[in-house]
Amino acid sequence: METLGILGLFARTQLVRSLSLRRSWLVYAFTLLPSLVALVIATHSRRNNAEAIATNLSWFVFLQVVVPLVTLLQGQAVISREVEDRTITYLFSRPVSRPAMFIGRSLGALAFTLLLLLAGAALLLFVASHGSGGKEPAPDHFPLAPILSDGVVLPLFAAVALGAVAYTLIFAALGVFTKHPMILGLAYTFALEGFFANLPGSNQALAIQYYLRSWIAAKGSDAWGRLEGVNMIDFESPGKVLLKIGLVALVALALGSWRIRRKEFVLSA
Amino acid sequence: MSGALISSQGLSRWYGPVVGVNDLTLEVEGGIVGLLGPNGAGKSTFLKLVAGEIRPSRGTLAVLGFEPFANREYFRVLGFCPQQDALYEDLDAREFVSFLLRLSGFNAKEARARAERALERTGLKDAMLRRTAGFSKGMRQRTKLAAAIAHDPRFLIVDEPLSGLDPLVRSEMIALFQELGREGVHVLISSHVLHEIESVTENILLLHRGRLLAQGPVPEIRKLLSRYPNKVDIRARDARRLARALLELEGTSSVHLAPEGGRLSLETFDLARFHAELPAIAARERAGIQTLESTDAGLDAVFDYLVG
Repeated sequence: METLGILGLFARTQLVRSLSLRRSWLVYAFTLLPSLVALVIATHSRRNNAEAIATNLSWFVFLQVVVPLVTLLQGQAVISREVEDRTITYLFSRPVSRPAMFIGRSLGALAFTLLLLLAGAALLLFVASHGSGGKEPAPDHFPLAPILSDGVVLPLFAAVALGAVAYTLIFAALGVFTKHPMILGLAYTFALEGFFANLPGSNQALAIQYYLRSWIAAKGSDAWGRLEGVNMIDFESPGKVLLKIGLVALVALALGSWRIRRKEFVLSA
Repeated sequence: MSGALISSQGLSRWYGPVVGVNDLTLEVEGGIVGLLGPNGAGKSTFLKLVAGEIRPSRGTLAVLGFEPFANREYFRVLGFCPQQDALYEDLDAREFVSFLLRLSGFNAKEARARAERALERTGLKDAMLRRTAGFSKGMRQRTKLAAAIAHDPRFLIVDEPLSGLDPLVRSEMIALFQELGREGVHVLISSHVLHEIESVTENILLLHRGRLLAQGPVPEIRKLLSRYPNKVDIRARDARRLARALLELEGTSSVHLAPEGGRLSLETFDLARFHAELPAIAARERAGIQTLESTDAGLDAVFDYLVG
């Protein structure tokens, strides 16, 4: 089969399997969590307006916790789930390109995380917008969230998409390199990225979160600027953010493909 | 390139300090070959090497002229039915086999048709649209086998295919292996249950502690074991009289009379002479032989002898 056909077949099967509630219930739960929190806050606190709820939860919970966790759960499983299920033998005894298999599976996982996280972000904005009062609909509002301006909504969607691309592919590659991608992925997300993000000067550029902040700082409305941490450091321009996230994605795919070509997966009987 | 099915020189594979296969040098000509050995003998490691799942730590291995590890050309002619009881549980049997056929290069329509034929051949036609999650052990084994044969491989590797199966399924599987052998497919079957292999083929490889202990047809191996006597069980009307006469036959090392009478066990180093002389002795002694069974011509005995 042509390489493109193999890529498509693996991407499709990965996407279909990921959509299964039985396999991905934890991922669905994490994605819904910020919307539930938004609902609780909007219902019980009259001081918060829609913008404050949307931006705070988007920044501190959705982008910094949910996006890395969901992409970790999905990305690392691209190969490691086949190893855990001991089904990888079937794939590795067929005349298919291993890199094509890895890339196809990774793109399938990416399609799933993109769909899910964008839907989760939209739901969060919807709940924040409808659950709290205090403002008239913004003139350039997002259809699902009439109180929120495009300056709040669009940067969030873009940052979610950029984060999904970078993290999913990094964690997919991690799943090829190590037997314990979950542990290493958690350590990377909550220890290493946090450490990089607090380093002085340009060292922050070692963290994916830095580029997500950069995007929001450059494209977001004033509502984002009021959040702690968004406007405190030098940021990359949107063009450079796109370029660097793209590079990270390509390097992750290339490294994972290179490693899987000659890797042995020793399964017990 | 040799014409052998499997050819290895000094083949070794270890996992850290644990030796899986140790300095294995062999040539296997093909046909149906049984791979035997107790648990921990190195069978699974050898099969994984031959199936291209792992690399040798040292030495060389060629299968059908290919270096197996991650070799896509080799995988076109290989059918591998692994030991692990793992399937894609969210697929039905036809989807499972079709998916793997797509990976072997068949288009969707052809893959589906081949999957149906293979599942029919392994006796799963009526259950092919059921999810594999609900399958019994025998059905899962048949599904794996269907996936392994659906693309018409030249060489089929089956790892412990008969373990845990009921007698009916087992005999159907054995018949299928024999049929594939007649069709010209080389089949390598591993098992630690000796009589299972014996019912499929006489041609065996015997592994023990990662080394090759013996290779070839069971009777030939048996001949090599000249330091061990052949055992024969005889039921006769007058076993005592027969025992006395056989004890004087050249090559006989011992004769044991069963306490209940009517049966004797004989050990001889010259089985050919024994079979040549027995009719005359039986007639002369009017022993009235009822049954005669060479109890250790079978694989069990060979195996017991070899691994001590």
